[in-house]
Amino acid sequence: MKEFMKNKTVTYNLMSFTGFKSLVVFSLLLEAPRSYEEIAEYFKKHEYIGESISIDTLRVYFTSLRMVGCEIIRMKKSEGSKYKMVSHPFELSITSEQIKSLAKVYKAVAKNIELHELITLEKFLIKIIEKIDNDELRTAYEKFSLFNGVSVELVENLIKHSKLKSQITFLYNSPRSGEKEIEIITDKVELNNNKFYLYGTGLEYNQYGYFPIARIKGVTSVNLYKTDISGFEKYTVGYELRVDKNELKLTDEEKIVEIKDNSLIIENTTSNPFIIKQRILSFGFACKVLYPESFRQEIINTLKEMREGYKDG
Amino acid sequence: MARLSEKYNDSCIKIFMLLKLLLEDNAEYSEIMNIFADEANASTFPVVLNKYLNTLKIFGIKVKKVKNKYHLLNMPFNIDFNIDDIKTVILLKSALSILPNNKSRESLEDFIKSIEIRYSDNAKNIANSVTSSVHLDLSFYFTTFHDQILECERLCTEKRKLEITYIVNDGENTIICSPKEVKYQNRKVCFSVFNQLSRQIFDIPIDNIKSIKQLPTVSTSKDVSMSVVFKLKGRLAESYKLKEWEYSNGFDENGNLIVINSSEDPDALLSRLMKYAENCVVVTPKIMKDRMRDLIDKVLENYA
Repeated sequence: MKEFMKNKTVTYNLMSFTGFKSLVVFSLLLEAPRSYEEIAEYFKKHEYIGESISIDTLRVYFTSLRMVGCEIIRMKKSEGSKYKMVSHPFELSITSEQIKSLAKVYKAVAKNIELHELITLEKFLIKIIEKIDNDELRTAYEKFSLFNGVSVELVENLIKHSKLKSQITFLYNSPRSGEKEIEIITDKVELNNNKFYLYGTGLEYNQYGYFPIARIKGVTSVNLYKTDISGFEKYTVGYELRVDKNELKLTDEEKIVEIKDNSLIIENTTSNPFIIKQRILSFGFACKVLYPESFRQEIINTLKEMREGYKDG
Repeated sequence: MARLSEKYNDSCIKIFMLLKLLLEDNAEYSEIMNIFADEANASTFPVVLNKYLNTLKIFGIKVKKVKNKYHLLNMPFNIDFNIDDIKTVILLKSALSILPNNKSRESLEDFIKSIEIRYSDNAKNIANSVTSSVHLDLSFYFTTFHDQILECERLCTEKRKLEITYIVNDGENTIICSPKEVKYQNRKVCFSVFNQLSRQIFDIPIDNIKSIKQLPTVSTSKDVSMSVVFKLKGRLAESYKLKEWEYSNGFDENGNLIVINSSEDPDALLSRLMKYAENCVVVTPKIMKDRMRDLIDKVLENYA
């Protein structure tokens, strides 16, 4: 060893061999639990060390490592009596302040990035949580994550299907009828109101719709042949919206057909009028349905029915 | 004589103490001297330090000296980060700008640094090559609202009560409130405040704020939000998923789900409840019940 280091211009007295060996022991245990024999063999074959280590010397290293904060245990005989590093002071850690900042950044970022970036962020956080093993972080993550109760892999899978507009069947936990299989031609995955939804044309009612992904238990099959949905009935609703054009985020089904001084005329075409109805009601008095008359009447009737709920006041 | 198992190795302890100091980014020259005080004096210390730095170097740990401080450039114990992880780290770094320029930003910066230091050489190469292809566009927040954001962050730190005048529905409204936080939502920056009078959280879009007057008093009482109770009917009652800021006491005798909501901006809440149409009725408080009724009346006026 001494000679080798001399040859390599780093002289023996200019480095700590014991320090070097302790780093080797540390990194070996970091990789996996090791038996004395495995460590001794590694030492012997090491290009710099090239000599074995006695069990007594190894124990001295373990004691020293423990003194700097490493937790090393000896596993059971049935597990090969190997030495295992349970924890060490160089593990990735996070403070309470950092957890709070991470949560704040997550909340601000999550709704400003694309869905695929959000999935990447989520996978990264899951990896970090596994590495750090901090209960405070885990609890905070469960609270701030938009994926709470939703599998990242399932969302990713549904996005893939939506890109291909695949016809799939999934198992859905319906609050009304319990678990049932639903077949749809997928369209898109969206995050609305902090919840993930799968959009597509359902083949049971031949209607466009959406399903909260939290209720989807998994994709059970992918149909190789797609049903022709071009003949399904579609509705076009026109409405006037008093809103700043720059602040309005149109849905895929909406298009602006006219820009007026203080308002926009929008057309929304879908096979599911319920989705348009929800959209229109959420705009409040800033929105007025123009056509068709049947839909206009339906909105008025709904509003009157809503008003009934407050007839005492 | 100490038992064998109690024997320890001085060099081992010293090299790990040095590594710890480097990892904490606290490796000032004087701090390192403390570790080696028993074997080196001021004149021999550089030789001793060199010996340990050489040991780290031979093991593959790179250390760089800047002025009087040593910095760790890599860790020998890496975490397996892939290209997506590295892109996420870059994304988080660019998102740091939304944090106020104080210790919360510094602490997250430190955390990100502690991740980067664990990059393998391969990860470092990836990081250098993908930097230009990742950009989180938060610039729209800062190009337009930079000064306002900084001001609101300052007000949040000082915690004094505020008198805010802002534009709402073509009119103006003035409230006395306590600052809570700056919220970034869907390309919109809101100043979230708590109004003690109505006991409601208001998320006021920053561009709607006309004036903010800081009052001399500091809010001492705990801000307890007013709860809004609403009932959900039909299928919605069965399928509704409670929000983080809601809870339920279960169903009433007619099978309606009773939901207790607090801390949601009242306008945002009413807009959401409108979507539920006839399947939702606000129960209490009277002020929110009246607002919902007036809102429905106003929408109906569109069709009069």
